[in-house]
Amino acid sequence: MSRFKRFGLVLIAASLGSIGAQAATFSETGSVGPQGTQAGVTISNQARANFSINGNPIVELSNVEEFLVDERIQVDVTVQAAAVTVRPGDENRIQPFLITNLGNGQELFSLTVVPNVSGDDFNPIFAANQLVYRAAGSSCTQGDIQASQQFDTGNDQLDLAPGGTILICVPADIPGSVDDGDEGFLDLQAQSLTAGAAAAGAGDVLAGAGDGGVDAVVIQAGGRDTDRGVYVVSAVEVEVVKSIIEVADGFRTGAPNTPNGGRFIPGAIVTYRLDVTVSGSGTATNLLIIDEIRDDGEEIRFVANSTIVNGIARDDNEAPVSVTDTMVGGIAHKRITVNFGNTTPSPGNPVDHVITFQVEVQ
Amino acid sequence: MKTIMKLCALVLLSVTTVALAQEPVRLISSVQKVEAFVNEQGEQERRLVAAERVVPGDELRYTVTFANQGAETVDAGSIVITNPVPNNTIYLMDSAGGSGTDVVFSVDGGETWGTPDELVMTGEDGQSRVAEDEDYTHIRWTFRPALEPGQEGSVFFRVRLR
Repeated sequence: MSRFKRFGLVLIAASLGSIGAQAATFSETGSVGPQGTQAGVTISNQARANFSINGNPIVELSNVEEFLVDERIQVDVTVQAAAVTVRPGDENRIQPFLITNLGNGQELFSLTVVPNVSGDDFNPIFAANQLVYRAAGSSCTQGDIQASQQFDTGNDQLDLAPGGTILICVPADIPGSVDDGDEGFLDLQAQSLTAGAAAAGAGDVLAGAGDGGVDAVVIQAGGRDTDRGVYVVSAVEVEVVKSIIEVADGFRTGAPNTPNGGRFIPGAIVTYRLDVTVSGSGTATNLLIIDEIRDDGEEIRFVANSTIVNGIARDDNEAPVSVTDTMVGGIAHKRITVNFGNTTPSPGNPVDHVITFQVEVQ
Repeated sequence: MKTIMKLCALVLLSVTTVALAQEPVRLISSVQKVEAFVNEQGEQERRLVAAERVVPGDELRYTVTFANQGAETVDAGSIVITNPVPNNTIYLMDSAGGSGTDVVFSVDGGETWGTPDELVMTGEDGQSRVAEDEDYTHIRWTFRPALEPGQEGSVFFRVRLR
């Protein structure tokens, strides 16, 4: 897009701003590097001939052949998450999209969010104020998006250099009525604002519409690209409650801090209990419960083969139990893993698991 | 008046003679774009079109035509045409040719010349490697025959716009 045309568009947007929000233009925050020779560059060639006539050397030069490089209008939108797992009623769940100017000219783009795509199970609820965010960093995590980086899809535009990239974070709410496994689609579209691009077919030429007045070749139909973010509903909830149910110090055996409970003295055996509750609908896939217990002989030590799963005693390497050595913060630990595989509760009928194991106070 | 006209004629004749004496061989460079298209049989074909609407990635064919427009024969084996690989383009391997010519290349700005198998570069790892298309900086053709008055020849090469 020529500089002159860009000014024109800004002026138009500004005039609209008098009845709505003020338009703003934002540049790239990263780059994938040059996208070939910049539009408007002159490519020249001149050959030279050396020859002789009757032994007399002569040099001739050819004409200088020149042409201008035209602008390629091409944009890429790529969602940065395979799928975003959500729960019914979630708010402001972010889909990250990377916008890249794959053209060889400076280009303006508008952004459009399409939350009501067909072919899915529900429509994500895009924020009513139509704001998305420009990420300052390389992700759409909380620290990278701020209110000051809001991008108004109704007014604002991107101004990207060749190869320029910007990460756009699109928040949407999830309806409360969705079921486990439901999918909701949300599309983000980047549209070239070069005059005529929106109506162009792939390969169409926009005479004089490129940088510096060169022609612009529209690579993608409509001068735009779209990618799709997917929300997947997971209505399964896993809750783990850890407690000490018994202390045996050689004199007393019972719950801690009770009249019959043992004291935490060297040699005392402490029994831990993990109550695992899987509730909701759907499946908790490959459910692993992992606990890491200090085992360096300084404070406590894991009691070998002390694990009981749902009332059945298990050796340290007897399925579904696995006990391995590990280091946590430079201190030797035992990692106790219990593999429950796929666990599928139904509404009102949660699945409960109970794990106990013992440690010895050092 | 007649004297003036004779003088003008002499001056013109003199200019023409000088021009011919200075440019016995006329050298013309031209460029076309190589365009892929699908023919009526649905087959992929390539054709040469005017170098208009050229964008990065396009393939271009340069032709240098040389013609003896003088009255004397150009010595056999003496015509050497040198063409730098144009700015912002990459030479396409095996694309240089021309009837009656031998072709060599340079990868050091025209300091040294050789056939592709003779051109060696030092990689970033310090190891030697055969030069690749992006390394080529110049192309040079030597026309073996003599070029008689009125005869012409041409050489060509192809590049891709970066």
